[in-house]
Amino acid sequence: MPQLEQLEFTRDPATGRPHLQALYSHWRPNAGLQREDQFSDGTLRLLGLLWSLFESDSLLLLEEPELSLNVGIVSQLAPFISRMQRNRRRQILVSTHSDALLTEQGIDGREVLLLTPAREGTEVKVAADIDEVRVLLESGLTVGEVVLPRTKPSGAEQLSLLE
Amino acid sequence: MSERRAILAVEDKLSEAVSIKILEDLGIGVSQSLGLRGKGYLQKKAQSLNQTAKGFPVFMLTD
Repeated sequence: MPQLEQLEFTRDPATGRPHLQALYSHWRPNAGLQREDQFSDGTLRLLGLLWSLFESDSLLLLEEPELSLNVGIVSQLAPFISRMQRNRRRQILVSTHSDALLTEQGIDGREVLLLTPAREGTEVKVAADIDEVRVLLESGLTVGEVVLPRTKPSGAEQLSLLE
Repeated sequence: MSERRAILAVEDKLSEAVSIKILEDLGIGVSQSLGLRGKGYLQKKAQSLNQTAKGFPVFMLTD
């Protein structure tokens, strides 16, 4: 965990309630001690994400794991999840809108499903089954560069006209 | 006759709008827009796009 030097499980001596306690990097010793209700949203989400990944070996669905996280961390998620999945032979499904997450060169177009809202519901296509996407990916572009632009909602530019 | 289509690679939204109009006049549809991240991005990706153009028509607009 970035900036966390120590993370431990503690119990409130008065109430007996369990807590997470972290020691943040700080120039004063012990000045960086914080409990989970003082953690940032990103820290809580990253802890939850790591917890889910280490918790068991069953099917895992992650909905937009990039939320509240720094781009530097998000760009590491795909290879990290891949390593976790490889060691545990676990199936992990991730939904995302994140360019940073999909910029990882190792993501194969055959493992990406493109969900597009259509008149009769959502259409699902394997990204690599779309001719131009496959050719672009084979030429060295990333899923983030090629597939994400295809998910842009039509008429999104209208937002810039609002005053 | 099947519709002719091309991948568009542009610097920004203005170039995208101009390119779509040019291609429209030539009877070519846009199957995919790429870029919108400035000239440097297109220069960096030129080699990949050149490779892409061997399998699919690519229209790049830059200045």
